[in-house]
Amino acid sequence: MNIETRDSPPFRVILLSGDVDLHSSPQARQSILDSLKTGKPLLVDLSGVSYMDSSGVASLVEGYQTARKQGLEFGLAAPAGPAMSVLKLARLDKVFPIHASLEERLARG
Amino acid sequence: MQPLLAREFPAYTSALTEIRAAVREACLRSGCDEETIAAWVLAVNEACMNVIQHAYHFAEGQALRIEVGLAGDELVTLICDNGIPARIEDLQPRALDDLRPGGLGVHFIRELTDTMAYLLPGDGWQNRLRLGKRIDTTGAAATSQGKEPA
Repeated sequence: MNIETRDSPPFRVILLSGDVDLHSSPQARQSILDSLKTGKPLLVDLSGVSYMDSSGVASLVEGYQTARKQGLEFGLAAPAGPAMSVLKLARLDKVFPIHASLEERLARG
Repeated sequence: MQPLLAREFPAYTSALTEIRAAVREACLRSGCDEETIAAWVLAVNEACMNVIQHAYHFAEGQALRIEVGLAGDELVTLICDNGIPARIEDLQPRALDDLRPGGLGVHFIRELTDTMAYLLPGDGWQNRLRLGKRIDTTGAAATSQGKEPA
């Protein structure tokens, strides 16, 4: 798994790619929680995720709940097939704000 | 059962990539379609995660064994370990409207399999989880009643 973070004001953006599984998801979780500590709304781009298991989903849920407690926006962008499959399996595709692409959400400001 | 895979793996999170690749390769030889294979790999991955997390508590030097095979039109996988046995309450899926991290693994396994059962200890393994799913090896996956494929 690879994690890239960047600022696209007003958002903090995390780009996850590769396999997000029990081995790598603790890093994804930490990156999400650290990003939320900046107090900025967070977008997590999943377009490069080739595999995600329940531990990856749990990291996203924890981030979403942490953001809500802080009154911050938390959105997912462009979940690729494997990531979208597990979000649907967990019935979370209707819970998370999901954007067609990172650019689409950023363009709306 | 027609064996497709019978192998021990270290029960480490770092072995999950190799486990998924091995299960995927075995499923390919079974004649399953891609959708069924992806679902099965996820189900087996979740079961192995449970072994690593809950049976072995991430302890070093532990192993698990995976057997994949075909029994008629059923794709069968055994996941064996010698850790702490799962409790009945651990095998119940939680309500999905209870939005919280964790607890999704059993839900995933139940959704992606037709049968899930613990066998009696044997062959040197204390815990033997058997997962089964009817498949159509002519290329199209059998649809489980009311279940959404991953």
